[in-house]
Amino acid sequence: MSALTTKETTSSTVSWLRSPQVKAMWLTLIAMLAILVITFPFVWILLSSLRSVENFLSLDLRDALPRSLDFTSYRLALQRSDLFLWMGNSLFVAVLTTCLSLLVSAPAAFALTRLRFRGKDAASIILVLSYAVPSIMLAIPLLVLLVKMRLNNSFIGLILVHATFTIPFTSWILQDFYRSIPTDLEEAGYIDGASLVRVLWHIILPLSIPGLLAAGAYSFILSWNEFLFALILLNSYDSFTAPVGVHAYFTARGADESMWAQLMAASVIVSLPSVLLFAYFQRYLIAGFLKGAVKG
Amino acid sequence: MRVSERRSLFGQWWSSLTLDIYMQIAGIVLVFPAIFLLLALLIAPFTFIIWSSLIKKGETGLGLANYSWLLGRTFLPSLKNSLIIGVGSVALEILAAVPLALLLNQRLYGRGIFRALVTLPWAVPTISVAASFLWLSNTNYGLFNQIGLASGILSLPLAFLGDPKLAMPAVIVAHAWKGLPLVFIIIFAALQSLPSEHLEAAKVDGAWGLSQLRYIILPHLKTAIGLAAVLSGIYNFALFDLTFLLTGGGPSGTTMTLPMLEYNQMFRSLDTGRAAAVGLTIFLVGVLALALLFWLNTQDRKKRGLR
Repeated sequence: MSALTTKETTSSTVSWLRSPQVKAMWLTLIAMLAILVITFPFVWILLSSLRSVENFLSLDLRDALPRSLDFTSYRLALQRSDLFLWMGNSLFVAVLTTCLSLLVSAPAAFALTRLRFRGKDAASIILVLSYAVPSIMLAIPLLVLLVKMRLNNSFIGLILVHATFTIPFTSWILQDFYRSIPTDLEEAGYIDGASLVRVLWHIILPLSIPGLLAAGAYSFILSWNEFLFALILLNSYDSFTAPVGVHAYFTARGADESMWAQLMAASVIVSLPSVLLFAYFQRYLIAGFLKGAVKG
Repeated sequence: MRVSERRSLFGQWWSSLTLDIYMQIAGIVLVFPAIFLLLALLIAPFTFIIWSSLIKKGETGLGLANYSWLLGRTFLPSLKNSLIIGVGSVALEILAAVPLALLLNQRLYGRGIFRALVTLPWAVPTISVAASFLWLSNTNYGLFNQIGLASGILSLPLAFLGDPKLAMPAVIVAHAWKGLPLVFIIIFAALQSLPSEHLEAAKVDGAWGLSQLRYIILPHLKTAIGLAAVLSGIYNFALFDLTFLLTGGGPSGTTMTLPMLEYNQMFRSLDTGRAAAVGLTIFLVGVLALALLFWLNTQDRKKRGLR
């Protein structure tokens, strides 16, 4: 009798351990560890930037984690370098690049998903190929050409160059977005006698706003983070973008080890706009891939 | 019906035009600005780079001198280093991305947040990635050395990025970290498109766990893994920023990549012709890799078609 009950309890414990909820908990735990490893380099600059400046170079492992939030490194980085100025430059370049690439890629994406016309395949191929051209190959000829046009060391040149990789990207996201909007509303518009221009302006544009925001966010991130072209094209201290400014400022003081604390703070500041935008808009990018062209 | 549809479709102004002509004009007009801008910004540099790669520094005539220089002692080690970075980082990315995709495809709590966090490195600017890796691997104060010394694994601190033997692996890891999100998304998307009936059918046939992975999941992911490998490999092969910021090609040239070589030819040696020749090689290797992927996929499809 008692043997029977013991057996029953064990089997119920075993079945509880094998239940989907417990399995999900284990897997969640493993996933958390994996994510900790993957996000570690970013988590580490964040943690380091909040350490107090006094024990920043301490060799004691117990000092590696900040005991309390200390924003001194941030204050020093912002006061001593021209980070505000460079971020302003980056903001200007990234916003204008984004406006330019949305302005030209939204109509193109609409035409490529909704209209049938000759030259459509060629246009799609040009969009894909231009994304595949490596930046470093373009950097030199673009520099020489922009010097000839007197657009080097100007934001106009940098914005145009950034557009070469943001336009294909925004077109790709927007094409995916237009495919997901049902055509009913536009058809109703046509049947009511509206012309294509009216349909585009009154029906398509308002519907596109979420897509435009997501594509714009990505274009902004790409332009904000870009390093190579900004390094090559801009050559005065006042016109640096944030990544190039940080590079110039800290390589000039490379030997001074107390600069590490400020570099960590500066790295976090430069990353924040991109990381926050990405956190908000990442589902659009992933959704694009999930629906998209990759099939087994 | 169709005639009246057309009439209303164009409004009063356009009723005399046919649908095809209208669509043709509208299509071209809407696509034109984007395509014009891209072509202007790509074709001109392309022509220029081909033309300048044919001119030797200090001379005016056209010739292949810059290309014969490619066969010499400076270029080939850089090509090798770039290939090592491309292949090595992609191998790491796939080894990490496939298990991660399988894990995050299971039923677990907070799946959406995990997926977002895996893709986070994509948004972190290269300058911050480099700062992080430089700080982590710092000889005197870096966390890697601190942990290594405290746990007794290391007896002396290591200069990860300054040691000719360790610099390349460190650079590869940094590239893999930055490239993981793209590879993960492509593989995860393919995994989601696997019909669950296939797995159910396999369970009925007695295929569980590893044999399910071996005979159903991995074959299904093959195309996606190939695509991710080639795309990410080309990207890392041609990436300039990360190597430039981490090692600048050093120590003693052990991480000198083709993009770094091109940059040095242009801005240190002021030799546009050689830089252009290196740039074109980078592009051609990418095109070759894409062609190889395309060819492999066609072969694969043919084989499946024959069965």
